[in-house]
Amino acid sequence: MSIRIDVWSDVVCPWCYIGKRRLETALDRFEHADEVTVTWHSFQLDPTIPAGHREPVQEMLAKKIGAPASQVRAMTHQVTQLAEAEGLSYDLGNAISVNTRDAHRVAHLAGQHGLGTEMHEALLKAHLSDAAVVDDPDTLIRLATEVGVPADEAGDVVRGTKYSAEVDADISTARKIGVSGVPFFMLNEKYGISGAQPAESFLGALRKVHAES
Amino acid sequence: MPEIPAEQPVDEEITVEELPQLITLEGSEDAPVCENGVCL
Repeated sequence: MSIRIDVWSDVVCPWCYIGKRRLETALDRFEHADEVTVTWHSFQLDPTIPAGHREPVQEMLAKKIGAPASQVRAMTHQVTQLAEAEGLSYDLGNAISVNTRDAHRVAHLAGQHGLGTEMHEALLKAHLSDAAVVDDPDTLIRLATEVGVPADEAGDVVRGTKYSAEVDADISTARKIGVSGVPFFMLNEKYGISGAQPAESFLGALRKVHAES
Repeated sequence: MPEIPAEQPVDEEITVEELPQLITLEGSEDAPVCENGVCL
């Protein structure tokens, strides 16, 4: 009896990292966690950011929502505090907004090595906690090798276009099943859970799905 | 830090055509998400 969890997430998404931690907390308490597999899928919050364009996240947000920088700082402070409650240390004041396509291509390579979860974790931490630039080729190769991906393979992917189709397919699937925001969790291809739910909600869903399977 | 159990070594393709309409779990719609590049 197994439970399959498919997660759509972007590596620059503050709620995705919080959602990941809350899911992990739920799995830590779930009696049948050994029967659960988690697969991470690509989603781009803003695929229109030109490749190579870099901008401080707070400036990007201020432009996007038409709010003064002070308001954006207050809002990011709020999500930073919620992250802290999950044991995460965000540095959104220094985070840099980029196009995440290359990061997702590398994540797919890592997935081929059974390291998709580890790579997603590394990319989220790099962007949200370490203010690393996650479209920088050297940074992507370093992160990939740190989780166990062979450096030569990571280099080939970063320098080329491999796994573009897989990224597109993930995003296409997300659109087709109605995902407009992330994180989004799909359990056994039956139940959809949107957003960074409390761990208790994930746990309840896991128990419900297990009881049905 | 709790760890998520290892995933499948190879990405499993999801065939959308085979997916039924997803059932949204109760209360799920109120949780925070990032949408259209905004996560506030």
